[in-house]
Amino acid sequence: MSGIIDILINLLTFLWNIAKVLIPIMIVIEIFKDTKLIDKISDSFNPVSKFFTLSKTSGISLLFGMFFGLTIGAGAILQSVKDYNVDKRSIFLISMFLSPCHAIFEDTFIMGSVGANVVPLLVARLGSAIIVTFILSRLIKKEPMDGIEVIRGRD
Amino acid sequence: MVTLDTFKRGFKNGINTLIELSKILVPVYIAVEILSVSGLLNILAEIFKPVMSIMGLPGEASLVIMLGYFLGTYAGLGALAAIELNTVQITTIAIMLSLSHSLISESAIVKKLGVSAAASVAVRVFFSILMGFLYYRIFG
Repeated sequence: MSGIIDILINLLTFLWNIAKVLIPIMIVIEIFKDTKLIDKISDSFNPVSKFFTLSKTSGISLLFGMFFGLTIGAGAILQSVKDYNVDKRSIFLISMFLSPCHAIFEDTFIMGSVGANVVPLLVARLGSAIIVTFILSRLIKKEPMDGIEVIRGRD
Repeated sequence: MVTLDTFKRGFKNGINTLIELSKILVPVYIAVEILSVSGLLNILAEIFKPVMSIMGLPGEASLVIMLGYFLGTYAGLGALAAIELNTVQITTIAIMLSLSHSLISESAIVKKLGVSAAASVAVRVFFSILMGFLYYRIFG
């Protein structure tokens, strides 16, 4: 019986820990939107979005996921789908980037604290994410409706 | 213009997203708890013991990797203290686990976005093993 109560308490703590980060970030996103700061951030992130052929409004979800973790990134993506109707291809590519590379501060700190060398760790994670996202972005063609520029066929 | 409404909207979005994510986070959390007490991972770790030498790791590291892959980074690192490892080996494990951890709960999150969980797991496990192997080959 006490085992079940333990699980319940752990579960609530787990959800609370997500809420603690998720709710402030959602408020920050709204502030960004109302101050038009989100356009500036999206613009400065544009080279990266372009490199991975992501839609312009989805780049910010990649940033949130990379710094705050997959759950928060997913929350930001779910919200951006409601706000801007982000295309499926971009969501797929962001998910593939964030799968190997997310919460880079937290994870790196933990690994460093047990005695791991953190430079190769960061290189391996970022490298994997960039390689897989780049390859997939070139393999999966944009649908003509997704963006203004349609990728020209290579054949 | 930032008004009180901005904060209200942000708060509401936060709660709504949390509820949406909870629908998958709660069942997955319970499943992971059950898996962790089942002893199934010890059996899996036993099976993958011989593979560890590819990454220059002792067989016992198999349990660390399995705990990390299925349950999470903390579970994996908790088991780390029980084995004697050098810095290269610790870094190899750190690379492998930071690329690929909490596969059950995190692939459920990916699935929630309408993205293939199998693709996410495949990418992570592939790069986890590849990068662990490369690091050992280059620096080990």
